[in-house]
Parts: sequence; C-alpha cells; structure tokens
Amino acid sequence: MIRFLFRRILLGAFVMFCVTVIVYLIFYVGPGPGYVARALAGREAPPQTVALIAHRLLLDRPWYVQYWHFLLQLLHGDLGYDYYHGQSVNSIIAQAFPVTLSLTLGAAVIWLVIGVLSGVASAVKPRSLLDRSATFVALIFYSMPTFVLGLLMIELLYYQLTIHGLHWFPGAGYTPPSQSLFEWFRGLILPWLTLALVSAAAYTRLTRAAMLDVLGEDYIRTARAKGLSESRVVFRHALRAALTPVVTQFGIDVGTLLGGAVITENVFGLPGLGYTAVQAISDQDLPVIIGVVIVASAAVVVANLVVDLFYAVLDPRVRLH
Amino acid sequence: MIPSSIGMPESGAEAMSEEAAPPSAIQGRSPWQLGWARLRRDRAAMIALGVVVVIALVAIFAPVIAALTGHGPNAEYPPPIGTTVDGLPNAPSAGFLLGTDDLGRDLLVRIAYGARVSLLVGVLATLLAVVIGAIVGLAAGYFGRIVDTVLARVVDVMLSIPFLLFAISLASVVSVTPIHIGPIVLQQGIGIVVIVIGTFSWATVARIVRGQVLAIREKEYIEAARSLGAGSWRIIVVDVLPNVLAPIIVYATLLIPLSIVAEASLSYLGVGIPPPAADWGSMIADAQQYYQEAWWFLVFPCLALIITTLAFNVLGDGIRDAFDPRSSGSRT
Repeated sequence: MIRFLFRRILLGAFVMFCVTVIVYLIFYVGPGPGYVARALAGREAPPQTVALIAHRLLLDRPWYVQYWHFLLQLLHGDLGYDYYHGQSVNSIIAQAFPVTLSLTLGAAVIWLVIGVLSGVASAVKPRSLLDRSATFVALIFYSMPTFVLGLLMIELLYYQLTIHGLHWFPGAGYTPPSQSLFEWFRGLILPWLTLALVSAAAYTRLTRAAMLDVLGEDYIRTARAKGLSESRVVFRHALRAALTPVVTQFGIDVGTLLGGAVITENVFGLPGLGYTAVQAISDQDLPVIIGVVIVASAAVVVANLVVDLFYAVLDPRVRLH
Repeated sequence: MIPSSIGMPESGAEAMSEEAAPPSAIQGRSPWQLGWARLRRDRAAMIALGVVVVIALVAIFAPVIAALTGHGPNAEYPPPIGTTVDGLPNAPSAGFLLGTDDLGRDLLVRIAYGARVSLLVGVLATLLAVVIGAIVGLAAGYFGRIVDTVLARVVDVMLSIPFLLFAISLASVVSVTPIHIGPIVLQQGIGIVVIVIGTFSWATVARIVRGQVLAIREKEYIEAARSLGAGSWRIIVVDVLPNVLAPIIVYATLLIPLSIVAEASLSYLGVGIPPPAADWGSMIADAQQYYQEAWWFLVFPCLALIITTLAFNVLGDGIRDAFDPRSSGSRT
C-alpha cells in the first residue's frame, strides 16, 4: 500500500516537473532571446519594467540557471509577479479560485447524479423507449459545444424570461457567498446546468456501457438466483462494479475543471481561473497565464492521486500492479 | 450476436477463406466488406453520412455559394444594405438568406466558408493525432520493456495536461511574438491550431493502439515473420499495422467532432483562427453581444456547429458498431 502510494506520488511529481519544463519552453524559450522580458511585461510596458524583469528572472544567464531559478521560486510557492496589474500572481489566483471551485463542485454533483442515473436506467432496459431517448438526448448534449449550450441558456432562460417579466436568473457575474448566499446560488444555476449537462452526457454513455458489461456477468445471475430484489441487484451489486470507469473519468474531469472551467466561465462572465487566463491574453499579461497553467496542472495531478487512493482503499487488487 | 472472429482483420480474411469449405456456394467477403454491409443497414449512420457529405460539399463549393449570392466572405456592406442605419445586423431577407452580421457581411457565405475551416482543422488535427498516436502505440506495444515504460509515462503526462490552458499559453505568446522552433515559425492561424489540437489528442490513440498490439505481438504469424528474418519495423508495418487499423479508424471518426469542437472553442475564446477569416467559433463569439437584437446571427452558426458535430458523432458510433463489434458502444 505504501509502495503503491509512493509510486503514484512520484509519478505526480514527474508530471509536474514535465509541466514546468513545457511552461519554461513556451514562455522563456519560445519568444526567442531578447523578447522574453518584453513578452512577460504586459501590453505597452515601459522599458524600465522590461529591464527589471530581465534582471529579476536572470535572463542574461544560461538557460539552466534561469530554469533552476524559475523552479526554485515555484517550489517556494511563488507563482511570480504580474507586472501589468502590479500584483503578485498568487493573490490573483487566490481571488479567482473560489469562483472556479463553486462552479465546478456544484456542476459535478448535478452531472454525476444525472449521468449515472440515466445511464443505469438505460442499461437496465436496453433498447427500450427510455433507453433510446436517453441515449439520443445524451448524444445531442455530447455533440453540443459548451459555449453553444451556455449561450442558448442565456438566450432562453435569462433573456426570454427577463423580457417577459420573470427575473429568475441574473445574466452574468458572480456574487461571493459571504456577501449573499442566495445571490451566489441564483447566479450559479445557469452555469452549473450548462457545465453539468455537457458533462453528464459523457457519464450517461460511460455508465450505460459499463453497466451493460457488468449486468452480463455470472455473479449478477447468481445474485438474481438468490432471490435478491432487482433494485438491490442493480444498485448494490452491478453499479458498484460499473462505477470504476466513472470514478476515473470523474477524477480527471473535476481536476481539469478546477484548473479553470475556461469556456463556461467566459460565457457567463464568472471571474474564475479560466476567465482570468483568457482576459490575460488581451492584456498580454503572460505571468498570470503561467500561474494558472501551473495551478491547473497541479489540480489534475492531485485529482488523479485522490482517485488512485480511492481505488486502493476500495479495491485491494489495484495495489498489486 | 456476431461471432467475434469476424470483427478483426487478423482472424478474418485468411481464416474465413479456409473455413468456407464449398467455395462455389459461399462468396468470401473481407471484414471491410462485412463492416460496410453492417454500416449500410444502420439508418441513423447513413443519414449522418449524408449530412457529412452535404457539409463537405458546402465547404468545397463555398466560392460557388459566394458567386451565386454575389457576396464575398469578407465583403462588408454599408448600411442600410449590410446593417441597419443603427449599425445592427440585418434580418434574413431575399438578398441575404441568413441575414448579415455586425459588420454587414453575408452570414450564409461566411457560414459556408466557416465549414472549410472546421472540416480542414477537424480532419488535419485528427490525422496528426492518429499518425503520432499510431507510431507511439505500435512502438510501445511491439518493443515493450523500456520503450513501453518511457512512452507510457509520456502518455500519462500528456493526459494530465489541461489542453485549453496550454493552447491559451501558446496563443498568448504567439500574440506577442512568433515562436521559432528551429526552422519552424509558429504564428496565429490554422497551422498552430492543428498542431495544438493534434498534440493534445494523440495520447488516447496511442493507448488504444498499444493495447491492440500487445495482443497481436504474441501471435504465431508474427513469430513466423521474425524467424524468416523480417526486421522489426517491417513486421510492424506489414504484419501488425493492418490488424490494428479497424480500432484506429473507429477512434479517428470519433476524434473528428472532438477536434471540430476544440477548434471552435479556441476561436470562440479568441485564440484560434484570427479575424477576419470566417470561422464558426469566432462568429458565435461576435454574435453573443447581439443575441437580443439579432437572433439569426447567433443561431445559424450555432446550428451549423451542432449539426456538424452531431452528424460526425452519429456516424462514428455507427462505424464503431459496424467495424469493431467487440467494443461495446451506445447500441449493444
């Protein structure tokens, strides 16, 4: 168990190392010598700032000194300095992260419930009308880009309702829960639904396929033969085994979204990590983008570790390989 | 239930012709012919194929559509023809069948030209992903040992990297200054979008191919080829590759709609195809500011995108069911 965990943590550290190398290549090598400080300074930065950055990041030194300096700062938890806004990147990310967290966790609950339940319902009666309609609806949402669904939500559930006098949902923006719990909830309903519906479709397909496989197994026949109720067979015996691929996917998805639900945040103007990164492009504010990429990759690595841990506890066979 | 031996080329062609004892009565059919026959019976897949063909024709003949309407893809018509006197898009009319956009351009013509970008990026990015993924998967599966371990770690890393944020990173640097990688210069445009999407999609292909190769590697005919003195790469290309082609093709058709959505998402965020090129994603981004005044500006590009991805997904599901019956899909 300890060895298994140790290997997974080592792999996670290796992934993070690769991410820092790629980030270094894109931002510190990609622009070409002489342009790096210019690129990191932000739009219309004065020459003094550019010179200061070149000095601070040791840009006149060889690449391995630069990279080591960059890595060392990260290891100290310092994500860099945003010269465009005159703020540390850490404080910008600390502001944005709660928004992304609210969006992701709320949506995750909704899509897991919808996806797994519709997948189970489809698999229990394959080729039934319910199965066909669930599969068809899932395919439509699966094919629908997130921003298309988000804009449809805004058009139908915000604009059309509002011009007919129903002010149920705000159009855009974020209210911190500390300010008003109700406004926080109301403002997140449409983004939650958008993110959840797009993701749920994949879970419907995944759960259905896994359940169909499991329901064909001998031990399910045995469970039925013992006289267990159908719901007990489906939920206790079959679903538990079918959840393995679902949990894997769930870990990856939540991890990725915690690094910024880029599209949804931009459609609904929620100032989370993904929104911050996209805004930073037009300001040519690259240090912020570096910070978000590092945090996002760390989120994926941590989510993968949690999933592995979950398996190791749940299923002893995993620890062996 | 279809006997599992038919699905795979490996056991298909040769085995079948041996088993077909009275050759006069039974016509030998290759697994590809069998798959095609199954696909043709799938009504949803055939409709989807028709839709895909229509979209491809629209993309190919976009200049003809432009000529017929007399409007160029980037021609901006002044008010009151192109926009209203207040500068808002004009509603669909006889002159502009799908209406105009905020700059007074013909939406129909721009959507047709947008189909070119979508299909081109979708197909090229998929090709790139499949080529890289197949090479990596074949090498990892066939050589095993240290090659497999190293490549497996590379795949793990690729799958743990948030795609959109790295695409944004590249785009943000490129928007300041072009990136030079040796002789290659990366600039904003179709090229970088294809490379970014392809680079972040090959890892799954590699995993699938590797799994298939592991099963094939130990077969007798591979051993026979080896004992005849065939080199590793010759065996991989001549003996292994044809037998993993079915899952590769199945996954590739499902990768095309994903690539199309990825391209549209990048352009929607303003880091894909730069303006003024007609592109569905950037059209939708422009249109979202006018959703109250000009529904057609938002709805038609959205419809084009949804219909395209839906058609490819339905077709991909159909191809999977027809050519790779063992992988359980949406219709079992």
